[in-house]
Amino acid sequence: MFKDSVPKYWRLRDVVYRLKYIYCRDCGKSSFPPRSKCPYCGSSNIDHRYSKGNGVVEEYTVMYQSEARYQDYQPIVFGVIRLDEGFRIVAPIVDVDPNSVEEGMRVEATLRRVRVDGSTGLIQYGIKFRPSRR
Amino acid sequence: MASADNVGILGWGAYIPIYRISSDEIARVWGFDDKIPDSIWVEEKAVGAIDEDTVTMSWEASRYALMRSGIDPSEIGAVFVGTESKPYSVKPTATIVAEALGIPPKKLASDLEFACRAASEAIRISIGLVKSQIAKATLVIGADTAQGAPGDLLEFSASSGAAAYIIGNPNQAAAVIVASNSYITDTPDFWRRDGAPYPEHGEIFTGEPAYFHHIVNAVNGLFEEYGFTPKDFDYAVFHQPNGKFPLQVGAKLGFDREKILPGIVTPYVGNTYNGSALLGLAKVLDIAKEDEWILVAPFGSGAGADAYAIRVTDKIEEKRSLAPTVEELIKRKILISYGEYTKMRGKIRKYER
Amino acid sequence: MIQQPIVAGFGAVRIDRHFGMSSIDLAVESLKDLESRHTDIDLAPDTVIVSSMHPEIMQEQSGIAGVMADYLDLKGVRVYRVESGEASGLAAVNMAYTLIRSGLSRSTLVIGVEKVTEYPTSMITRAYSLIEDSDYKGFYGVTPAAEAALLAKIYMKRYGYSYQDLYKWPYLMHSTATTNPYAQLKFRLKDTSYEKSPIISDPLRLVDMFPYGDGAACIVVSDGSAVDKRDAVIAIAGVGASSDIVDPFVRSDPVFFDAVKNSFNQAVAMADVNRDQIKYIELHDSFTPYAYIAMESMGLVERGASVRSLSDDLTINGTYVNLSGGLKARGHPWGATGVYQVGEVFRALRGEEQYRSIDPIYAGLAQNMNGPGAQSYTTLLRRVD
Ligand SMILES: [Zn+2]
Repeated sequence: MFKDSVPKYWRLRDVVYRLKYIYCRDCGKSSFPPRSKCPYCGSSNIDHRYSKGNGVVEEYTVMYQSEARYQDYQPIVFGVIRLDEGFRIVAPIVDVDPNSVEEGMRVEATLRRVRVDGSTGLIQYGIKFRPSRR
Repeated sequence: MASADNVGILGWGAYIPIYRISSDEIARVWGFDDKIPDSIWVEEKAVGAIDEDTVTMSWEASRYALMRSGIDPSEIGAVFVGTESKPYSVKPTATIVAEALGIPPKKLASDLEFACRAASEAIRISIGLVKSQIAKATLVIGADTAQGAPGDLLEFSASSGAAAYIIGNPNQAAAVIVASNSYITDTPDFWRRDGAPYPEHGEIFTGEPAYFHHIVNAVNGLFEEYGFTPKDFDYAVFHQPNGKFPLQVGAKLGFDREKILPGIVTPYVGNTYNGSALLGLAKVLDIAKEDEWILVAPFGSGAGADAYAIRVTDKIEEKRSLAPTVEELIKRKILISYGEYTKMRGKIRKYER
Repeated sequence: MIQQPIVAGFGAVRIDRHFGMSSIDLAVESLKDLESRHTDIDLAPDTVIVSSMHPEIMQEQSGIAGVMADYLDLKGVRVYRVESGEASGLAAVNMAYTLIRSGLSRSTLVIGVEKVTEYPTSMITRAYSLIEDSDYKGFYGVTPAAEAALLAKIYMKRYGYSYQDLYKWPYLMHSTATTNPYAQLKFRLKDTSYEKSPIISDPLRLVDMFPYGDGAACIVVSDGSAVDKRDAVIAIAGVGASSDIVDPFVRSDPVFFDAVKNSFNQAVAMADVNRDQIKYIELHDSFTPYAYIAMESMGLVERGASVRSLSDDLTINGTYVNLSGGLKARGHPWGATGVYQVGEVFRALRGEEQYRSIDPIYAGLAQNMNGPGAQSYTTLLRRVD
């Protein structure tokens, strides 16, 4: 397959580095990833905002069979995380024993390598989550 | 006192990865007597996870430093990353870190390399930028995923970690850099050639002609120029390639053990290279009181040392609780095996598929 | 004049790791099967629609419909490729229906084809994961299996089921697939087989996921001009298609698929059949929880009741489901699957081998979706008696 796209990663930097999301001024709901209209009410009356990266684990799974570029990180804990700003994200939870993850656990953002394009391509960073420290 | 620096430390932040490998485990795998790690006083070292590197650890430490600084990222006029473990040989670490922190484009940003003291050089550069008003504030990061060849004595200490400082207006500062000095020569005690995965070092040659000579001269130079004596300082923090060297160089300079021990981190987390002395300073800032004085002397192979005289202000208490302390980060740990460590640090040779 | 689309014939290859065959070879074999099953129909399609999810990645082939028509020696026909992820098959049948109904085509050959086993598992997983939102879950490496696992946990917790309760589905799918000539997996599972099945994404195990396999299936949809009259004539009585917010965690209920419900209701409303005449359903069970959620979304049973309501003879409130073995055991060669599903409903309505144990049925349907109900398609067949 092709190498990873450089412009794609570059375009996504606000989203993957800083959790840029949208807040709907009409229905008051937040959602991720950003889009031109609110997925809940269809309004275009939206703000772009950045999350502080703190949230709670609503559900999680421990994945043992990943696609080629993520195999070094196996097993990967994926959480359904509800951020304090109100939106949900499905993202990896790191620095944790998979057996000790539980619903209701508080998590915070951590910048990590998300994927690495071979030994010569781009190192792509993004926000993952880890158990909250405080 | 001749032309004092008078530049502030607005915020400080530390980052230590959660994973640790014990020196006993490394000694067991490579067949060293367990007195060897005892002799250099390294008990455990921090290991960056497989998805951590200088960029990610820099971001972590900087977030904490920004929290304590109370300033907005848009006020940062320069971002410097001192490191000898750049994720990219060509492409700045600093630009990625700055973007991820939301620091706007109007800024300076670069990576500095001077073995373990590049970040310290960035602090001295920042003093100039702030005093000349080229930058309102700067972000200085020392971060490394230090490389030690498997089976090399260096493997006991070479670890992962980061420290970050916001340098700026002394009136908003937790501590003030009152004066500083540097001492630099061409002394090849430790190096890594371009493309080589692991460094080479002169072993005992790294001691007397390198570490001790440069730190002693940098500190004595500071003392002579500004009239300080060891009695003026409540704490002394030195670069820490292991647990023993800082105690020995401190003794040479006339500092009691009690003034050095509060800033000791390497026995618990290993030598984080550019993080080393700066993590030690962070650990001291976590406990220091108003009007206490701190001597800091980073060292980098190649070789050079700096010396800083730092005075703590009344703002330290309110800033301290705004981010995790070094002690908290040291205590938060997961012990791993040598096998997990080699996977995390890319020491297993994999072939691309 | 509005035409009544007829399924004039069906053929397929057994789903398997066909290392020796390309997508074109597989298509040729499926056509041979069609010709041997329906010896007296005149195969003269004016249109070829190829449904395939990943010919670019798996076969390094764009414009696959044209290449395929050429190799099938069908010169001058209209060619299209229809792609809607793993629901490409039924999306293509929807398009064939439309072409016939509009009168633009008199006979359309729909070929669903997918080469899946061209690379090691991690690469196949990478290709399959492209159905996730590329700029978000795709970037994080969330696989469809991980997403299904999260939904399984939500479903189990909400309705009070254990993993063992859900295991009923793969167990029954393996059991019924043993007699299906087109099925990839022809071995039975034991009551406890899951214990030795590796976890793919907790709680889902290998037994909860479709097997990676290659396949091709074809049907001829015609206006009745070409049809095998030796047996029951089968018409496409209704089609449905609907889409939803791609991310189930943004929807109001992640474990109820509105797109499945809506496409089902559209097809039933369009067809001149009563709901209770629909006695057979082929549904999309790529992962165990999706079988149960699909049954509930189609309204076969109330929400949360499918696991306990499903009988061992694969009936649920009087409707048979997936006697073929479903995606789980018959197999799921991505873009080909919908065409296999229509073929199975076609065979069920004609009372063929796999379906002799059930009473003759008048109407049945296939449901094929992409991801967890992101898009869903329904094709309703009935006998023309
Ligand atoms: Zn809205």
